[in-house]
Amino acid sequence: MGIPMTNAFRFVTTFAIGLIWFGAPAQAADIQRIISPGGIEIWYVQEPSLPIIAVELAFENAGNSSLPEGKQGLANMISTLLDEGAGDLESLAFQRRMDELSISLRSSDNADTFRIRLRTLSDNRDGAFEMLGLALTAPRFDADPVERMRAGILSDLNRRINDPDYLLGVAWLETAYPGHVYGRPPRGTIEIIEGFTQEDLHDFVATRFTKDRLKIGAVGDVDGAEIARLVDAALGGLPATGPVFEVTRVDPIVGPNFQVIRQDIPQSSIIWGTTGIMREDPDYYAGVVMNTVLGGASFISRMWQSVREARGLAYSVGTGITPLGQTSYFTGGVATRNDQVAEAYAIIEGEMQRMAEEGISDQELADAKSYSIGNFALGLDTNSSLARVLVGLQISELGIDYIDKRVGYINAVTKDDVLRVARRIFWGDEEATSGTLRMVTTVVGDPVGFDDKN
Amino acid sequence: MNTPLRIGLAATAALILSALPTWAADFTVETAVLDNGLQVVVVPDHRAPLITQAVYYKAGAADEPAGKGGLAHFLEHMMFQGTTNVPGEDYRNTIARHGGEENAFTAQDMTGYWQTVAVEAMEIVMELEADRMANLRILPEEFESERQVIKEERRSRYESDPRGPFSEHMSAAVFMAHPYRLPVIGWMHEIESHTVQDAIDWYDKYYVPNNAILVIAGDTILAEVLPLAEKYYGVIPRGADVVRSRPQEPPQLAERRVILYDERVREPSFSRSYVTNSRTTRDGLAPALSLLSQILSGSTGRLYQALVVDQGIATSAGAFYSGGTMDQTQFGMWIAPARGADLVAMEAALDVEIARVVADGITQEELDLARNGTLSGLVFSRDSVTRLGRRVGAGLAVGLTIEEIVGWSDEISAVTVADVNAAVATVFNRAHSATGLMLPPPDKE
Repeated sequence: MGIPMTNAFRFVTTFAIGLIWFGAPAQAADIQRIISPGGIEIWYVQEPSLPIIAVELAFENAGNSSLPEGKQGLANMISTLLDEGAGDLESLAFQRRMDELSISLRSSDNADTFRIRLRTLSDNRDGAFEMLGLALTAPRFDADPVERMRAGILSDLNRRINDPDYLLGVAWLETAYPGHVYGRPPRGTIEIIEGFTQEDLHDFVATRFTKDRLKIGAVGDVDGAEIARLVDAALGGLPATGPVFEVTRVDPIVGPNFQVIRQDIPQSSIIWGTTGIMREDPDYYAGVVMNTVLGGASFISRMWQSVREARGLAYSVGTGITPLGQTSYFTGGVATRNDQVAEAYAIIEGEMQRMAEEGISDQELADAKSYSIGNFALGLDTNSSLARVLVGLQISELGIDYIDKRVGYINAVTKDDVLRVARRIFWGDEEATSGTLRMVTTVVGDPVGFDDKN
Repeated sequence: MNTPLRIGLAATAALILSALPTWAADFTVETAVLDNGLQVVVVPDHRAPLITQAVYYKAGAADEPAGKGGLAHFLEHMMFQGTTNVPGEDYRNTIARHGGEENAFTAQDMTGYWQTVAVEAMEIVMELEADRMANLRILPEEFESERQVIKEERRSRYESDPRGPFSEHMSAAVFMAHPYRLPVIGWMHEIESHTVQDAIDWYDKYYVPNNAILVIAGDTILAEVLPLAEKYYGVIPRGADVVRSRPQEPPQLAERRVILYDERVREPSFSRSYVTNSRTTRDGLAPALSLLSQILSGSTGRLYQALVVDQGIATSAGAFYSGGTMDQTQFGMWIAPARGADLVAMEAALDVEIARVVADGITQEELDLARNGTLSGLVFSRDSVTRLGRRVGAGLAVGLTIEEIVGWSDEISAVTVADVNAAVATVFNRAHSATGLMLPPPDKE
């Protein structure tokens, strides 16, 4: 499943629990799998109660990891340009047409995929899919809008040079994945962005917006034959295949590794992390349960309890497992006053050691399971979020009946599984009975007495 | 007795761009008032077997006594620390065992608490929320620990980035007397000063059923909710009537200017805000200003087209209007300058655009597009019943009626070019404005 890399770091500043979307709602939506006459596979749910359609598209092997060294940020730049003119419509004409039809067409990139999100009133569906097709098959990349978007990205990047959360995320990835595409700054650098040419832009579209990479989810007031017709009309012209951009399988470096980036601010932000569990690993669900207890279900997690509730050391603290196409990382984040960093981090390390030494109790196992199962349904409450899930299921090859099966996968997890997976993550050895935490830890701020640990 | 009132709004919207089904922007709301004064609202949506319960208290930061900044927010934190019946940990664990999500927020005009759970757990979250409406228990040691958490929250949100102090200083300049000038989280020294008794006094005064709104959005109907509301909330005694009385703005006669210099600023920011009326004034200004902000905003809007596309002196620009406040509000504009742009020339270019709309007004085509966009946005907003519920709860908390909240689409549909032009003439008065610049220190420019 493709989680945008930046999401892994969002818990540093918000409460939000990373959506654990693999579970079962009480009444699972009726998911249909269609192959259009043009041969494109679509997963969709007919939802007639609102006059809208939400469509999610993903192109696999088209995110940052598909880009060669020196081209990071190209996918992000493409995402700013898809509504800046296509076919005969120049930028302003294209956007006015979108306004007239009330179409929302948004795109984004993450480590492994390029995403497009289309939202339209069902009455305007023909126009909406026509615009989608134009954007993906015939983008203009006229010089003026390209330079406008470039200026906006450069200004944003320049602003982020002093943004502690941005610095933290980029520095952690760089340290954890030296020399690998996953370690490169997802939005590129000022020098890289300045160097992109028209040819780079056109090449990205020609090689990555291909039918063999495409996954589609659609939810809304439309029937199956109609959605198939619309998809064919919009995307039938995409190339069947494109080159495969190999991404090598990689794990984060083995810690302990400490790095402090000094900034004169009153609070330090910290990310710590190590190898996680791949999505297809049989112990993935044990990892989910372990993480829920440790720091995933923020309000009830052990870390929340010990760092925030018991000692008032931070506004938020949390952990997550982020499986990508060719790696998986476990990370945690917290922000605390500079003179409390050492104390807070010692508690956090203590919780990870305790997890690896003792695992979890029967009560924690039961609570984490019921949380994880029940929480899934919350992610299916809107047409848009359901469309996203339909694409996620396809990318992770989980099967159309996965939603029903997921309860069983979670319920099968035992305390022994959790202990085994904790030892594997924290000590790097599931057989060990003692060990050293192998975290890669990055701090941005002015922590007191912390760099001594290096 | 309860007085159930069912409101289903029919399509009364004027004809606009033909493609848009205006009826589709409307939604159904059911409501009743309990004997103790609690207003109960249900927004039904049966797509997913979930409900979101939210309780809104008509008490926000702008209701705080002078010098007690952040007290409303502090109390919000304490609401998670347990009651005489249920320890805070049990509250959180109970909701988590049902896979639920929960949180709360404090704003200038209200404080809200919410949980999203499977519909089977509706009764459980109603019992828990009713319990903390009546039985909060504040322990001194938890109060002190939470004070530290709030200070960390303030450091995270407002002190780690120069945009924090910039927005705080701007608010203080936009409003001269109204407490909207003060930050919801409070200044650090006022967070330091709150006592347990302050929090108890606040709770006792405002957290009473006759000062609250219960909103349940999702897979249920009023007939199911009402008996449970009676059972859990209906037993809470009515409190003293709450009168919300805040200092109001004097006539504003001089424009203000805020310049923040900060070493961390790498890209300057510019903003301008005009003080103006909100929806609660009921003078027709709000829907017109809302559409005006759309006409100025977005990549096809006037500001972006002029400053970014035509003149190349900015990388983005837009306008905003927040009509949902209890007292006066802001019509704001912001610009992200292009690298190396002359900020004086940039501001002059903005003023040219403002002068142009004041002198020539807007066109029918601009109005049609903006109205179409707003009405479609209202249709799309129905995709999240939780958000619909929030709209109803927040509207009621500032004193709008359900008819007004659901009827927003009708107000938008009725706006004419003349209405927007009249609003333009009213709002763009520099004496009612503050202009802000966030810059690197002078020697670094």
